[in-house]
This record gives sequence, structure tokens and C-alpha cells, in this order.
Amino acid sequence: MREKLTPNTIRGYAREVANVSVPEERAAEIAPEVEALNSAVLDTAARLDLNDEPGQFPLALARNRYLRGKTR
Amino acid sequence: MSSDITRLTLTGVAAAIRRKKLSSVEVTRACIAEAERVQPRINCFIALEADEALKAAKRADLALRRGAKLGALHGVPLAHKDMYYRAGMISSGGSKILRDYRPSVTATVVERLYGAGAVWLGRLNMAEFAANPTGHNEHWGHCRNPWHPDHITGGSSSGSGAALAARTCFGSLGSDTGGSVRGPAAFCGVTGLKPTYGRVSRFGILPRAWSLDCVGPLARTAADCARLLRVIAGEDARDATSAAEPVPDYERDLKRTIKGLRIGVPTAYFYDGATEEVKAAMRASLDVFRSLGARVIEVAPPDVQRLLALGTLINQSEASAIHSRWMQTRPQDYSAVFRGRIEAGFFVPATRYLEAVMLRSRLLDEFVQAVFAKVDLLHTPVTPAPAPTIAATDAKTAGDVLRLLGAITRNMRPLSYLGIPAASVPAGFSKGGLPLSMQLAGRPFSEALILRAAHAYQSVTDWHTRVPAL
Repeated sequence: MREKLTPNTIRGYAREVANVSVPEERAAEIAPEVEALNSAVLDTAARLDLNDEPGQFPLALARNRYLRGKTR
Repeated sequence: MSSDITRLTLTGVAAAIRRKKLSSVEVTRACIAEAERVQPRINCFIALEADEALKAAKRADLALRRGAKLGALHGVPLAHKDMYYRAGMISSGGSKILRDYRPSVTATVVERLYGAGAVWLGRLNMAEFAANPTGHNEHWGHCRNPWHPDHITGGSSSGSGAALAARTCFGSLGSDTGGSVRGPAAFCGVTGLKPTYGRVSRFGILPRAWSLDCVGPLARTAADCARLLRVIAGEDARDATSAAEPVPDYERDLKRTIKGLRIGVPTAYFYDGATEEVKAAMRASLDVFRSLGARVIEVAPPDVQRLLALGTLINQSEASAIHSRWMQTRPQDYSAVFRGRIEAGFFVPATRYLEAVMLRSRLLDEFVQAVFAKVDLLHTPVTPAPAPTIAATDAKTAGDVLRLLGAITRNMRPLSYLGIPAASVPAGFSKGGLPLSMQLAGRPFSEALILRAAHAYQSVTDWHTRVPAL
């Protein structure tokens, strides 16, 4: 069960890790935004394979050019 | 009259210069006159470089008289979003922070355009660091829509869309990370193309999000875009992500038929929130394609909302890395809107970012199978509504950004995540006189097919020829 991301977590991370200033009001806006983005990845990442890697995307572009063996 | 000249297309004016019907100096003077006339109303230029442009035009005319070998853009005035580097020359990125920035390199695309004979007319307005889809800019002044100056141009290539619609130049480079070519093209009623990721070199341009940034042309017609793309496309040893794919003769391909072309209409997502007049314009454009012999087929794109979220996560993560130093040391020099566009990126774990990057290949495979195994092109509205007013989209705080601006780019950003090419093509006008545009997207490296379909459409419609009364 994932816990809700709180503005306090955002403010703490901003101070302790990111080294950026985030007012309390803004942290309350950022928290749900980050939670939604992270959730979208978490819900999809189960489809990744051990051998997937970030540098494969140009190859995916190239192979998808030749769908059905020819371009129109 | 200068307006007669500036209403020509890019390919038309290039042919007129080559045949000595017009000189480059005449054409450049006409563009400068139009730019000076409309600038107070639409603020599309950050810097009009009239003296240097006229010198370049004189050199072009001299070369023509001497019988020099001519490039495809010989003597044609172009102006670009202010993020294309020229060594030693200011490139502001529409920002306060880079107001006096003089890069030490020249962009590959700039070298290619001017190697083909183009005349540099000036630097165009843009959203701060290419990060706003409206055209607002608190540092350089808002860019305004030539069709109705109370309305936005779209962004981030705001000046490119406005300058072309106002007939101040014949072509322009924009950049598209999540819709920044297609949005301004759509709202200003010109033609714009986001090529496949890697199709055009990114060397020497201001970065927005490396994994998504695409350099793309805006012009008044698909044929003009084809000319520009042919010049700028192709592998570049200075950009590790540029593709080694051969560059087709896009203009020659325009002459081929679209009879039998399968055009896909999405059954989900892309029409959410669309106004009735947008829907009507899209239906009418599909009727035009049918009349040209194309087949219109419904397709179900897989979970587009997820693509939107993953693209946004990459976009914000990379942008926050690019701006991390200045966000720590001089946050006051960014607008609240800019901060709102990137701040979430500081709080995304590296693990999630890398997963989003890795998922691109799988989700691209899935999308291509679901959509492009059934159709050749996907047809959607670029935006669900015509350009809103500047006042209605004036985000005052970072928190306003998502609420006010998310709808503008929702149909474009998912395709940016997939890295596939997509064009914005004028397809009508609203009752209020604002342009409505369709998006045509295709498989990776299918720019020739997209441009051919757009050209066929423009051969039997006149939306792209209409000129705003400024």
C-alpha cells in the first residue's frame, strides 16, 4: 500500500536533498503532482524486463519505421 | 507592394529569386517593412536584425549575378525562435538569465540553413527557456496572436507562429519538446512539423529536455516545411542522438498520390473536451481526405493518459537538472510560470525517471502495433479549442500552471514521449475568427508521408492562405 506524499516530505526533500527553496503553499501543490507522476511509472514499470535499458529507444524508433517490411 | 511579396510561399519566393523575378534585397526589405509594421501589435521579434539581413541579401544577389551555385534557400529571409546559437551572438532563450548570453558555437541547423543561402532576419520571441505553451513572457513581453492580439499565440515557439502568420518571414525554426512547434502553428494558422526524435540535430540549441527535444520547421505550407526539413535533417556527429537514417527528398514525395492512404481517427482521449467547432472542423477535414481517395478508419490508441504522464515526468526531471544550479542560486530570475513547469522534477526519484525512459521503447512498440499496424496516419485535433485569451491563461503562480495550461498540450505531449513525427495543419476557423488545426502523426521517420498528406489537403483547401488583418 502506497502512502500519500505529503507537503512536509516535499519540503524536507527540498531542504535536505534538492537544495531548492519551496514555500509551504507550493509544497502542497507539488506533492499531488509528483505523486501522480510517480504512480504512472510505478503502475507501468512491472512490464520492464531485466535487460531493458535507457539507451534502447533509438533502436525502437528505427525498428518501428519498418512496420510490415515497408514504408508507404 | 511589400505585402504582395510577403504573401508568397517560401518555395515561391525562392523560385522568384532564383529566376531573378525578385531580388533578395527586395524580398528582405518587404519582410523588414512588415515586421516593423506589425511588431508593436504582436511583439513577435526579440531582435529584428535589419542591417545585417540587408547585407546578407545583397551578398545573395551578388552571388546570383555571378552565377554561383545556389542553395535551396538562396536569398530567402528566415527568422527563428531565440534559442539557436550563433557563435558570439546573443541567444536569450526568452529568459532574463540569458539576456546577454553569447554561445561559443553555432547550431548545426543554423549552419545548414545558411549554408543553403537563407538570410537571417532576426531573433523571435519565445516562452522563457521554451517552457510555456501560451506565448506569455514576462521578461520580453507577451507575444500576441496576429488573428486577434488579445489571444495567445501558443508556445513555446510563440514568435515563430506569429511572425509567419503575420507574413514577416517565410520560414522559421521552432523546437518541440511537448508541442512547442505544433501548438503555435495551430493557434496562429500556419503549418508546423515536429520530426521524429533524432531526425534533426540538436547541437547548438538551448536544451529544454534532452530526451524529448526536437527541432522542427514552421512555415505557411507543407511544401515549405518539406524544403526546410530537407535542408536541416540528417545525421550530425556533434549530436549523439541524431539518427543515421537517410534523408528523403521530401519535396519530390509531395507529388505522389494519397489515394488508398489509411487515416486513423482515435476512439478515445484525443477528443476529450473538444469544442463543437473543433469537432466539426475535424470532420470536414476528414471529408476532404476521403474526397482525395483516403480511407478513414477508427483506431483505439493504448492508454494515452499514461504516455502523457510519463512524458511529463521525463520533461520535468530533465528540465530540473538543466536548471538546478540557477534554481538554487537565482530563483528570483525565473518567472513563477517557469518554476511551475519544472519544479516537480526535483522530487522525482532517479529510479522512476529511468523507468520512464526505459518504458519508451515498449510503449512505442505497443502504440505502433495498436495504431500504425491498422492505419498509415493518425488524425486528431492539435488542441481541443482555439487559442484562449492572454488574460484567461495568465498564470500568476506556479500552482496556476497545471490548472490553466494542461489542456493546451494534452494532444501533443503523448506523441512527444513516443518520439514519433506529427504535424499541425490549418483546418478551419472558429466563429471568433481564430484558426483551428489538425494533427497528423505517423510512424517514426514517416515525415515524408505526413507532409504528402498535408500537401494534398492544402492543394484543395485554402485555410493556409488566409492572412490576418493587422
